[in-house]
Amino acid sequence: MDLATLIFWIIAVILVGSALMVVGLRNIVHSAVALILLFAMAAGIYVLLDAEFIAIVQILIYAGAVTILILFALMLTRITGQQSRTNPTNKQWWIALVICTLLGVSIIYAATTSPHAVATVGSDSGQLPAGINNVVRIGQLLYSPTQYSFVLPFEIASLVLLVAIIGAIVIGRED
Amino acid sequence: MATTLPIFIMVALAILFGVLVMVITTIIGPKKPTPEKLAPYECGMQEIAAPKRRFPVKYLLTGMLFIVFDIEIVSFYPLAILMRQLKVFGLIELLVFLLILMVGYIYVWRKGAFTWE
Repeated sequence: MDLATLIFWIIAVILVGSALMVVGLRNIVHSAVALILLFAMAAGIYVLLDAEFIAIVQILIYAGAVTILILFALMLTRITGQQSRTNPTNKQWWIALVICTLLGVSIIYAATTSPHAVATVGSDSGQLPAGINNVVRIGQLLYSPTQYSFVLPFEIASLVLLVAIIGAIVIGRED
Repeated sequence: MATTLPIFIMVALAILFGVLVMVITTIIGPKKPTPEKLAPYECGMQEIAAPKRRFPVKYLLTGMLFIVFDIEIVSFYPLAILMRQLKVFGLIELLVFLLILMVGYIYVWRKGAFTWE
């Protein structure tokens, strides 16, 4: 077993463990903290796959911002009264088990049989040319004026962000 | 994988350092607990009541604005790496993107969402 496989298994075990903690812990704030660990481990998987940009996005937006927002939302909606068990067990866990099993089986089926199945490691298909990493390639696709690029959608994305800013202010402020 | 290996070594060292410091201080540190030391807040004002009431929505608003500007910053990463290749065109792209977001920024500013009354 080489080092990459070893790192993958360490990350995978922590990832699945923290995912189970998210659904299983009794205090919902603890669940949110376990979610941070989960996002960080997912970023580790992306780094292993040489997808550095996705890893950066995962750390900055998911582990950084989204979990903070989730924590704020929990504090906003916290039920008054001191109850430690804010994340009670559900009687419908067996339905969840069935759904999760079906989902898992279908994902494994799709990943192993589809024509877009995972490229075999080491083959040249889907590999970037030497010296060009993932972030550079994404940058070329998004911003480069010479080859086919997504310059206009990128600029329009700022309009989406603008709508989000103004919407947050309009909805969130009383005046 | 070969290029990203240092990241994992760095993370492993960081975690190891944190765990090591915690373990060493529990082993060799003297333990003389008093009720004051065991209190969650050792210094500052005595709390008069547990914070039972819900938090104001201002926190969520700040969080949402943070996410928006976070996404803005993330989208600059590939642009920053390609800046030397793109030259002036990249700068114009960046400025147009920023200009559109500046409208929202000024709106938020004028609405007073950055002040904490």
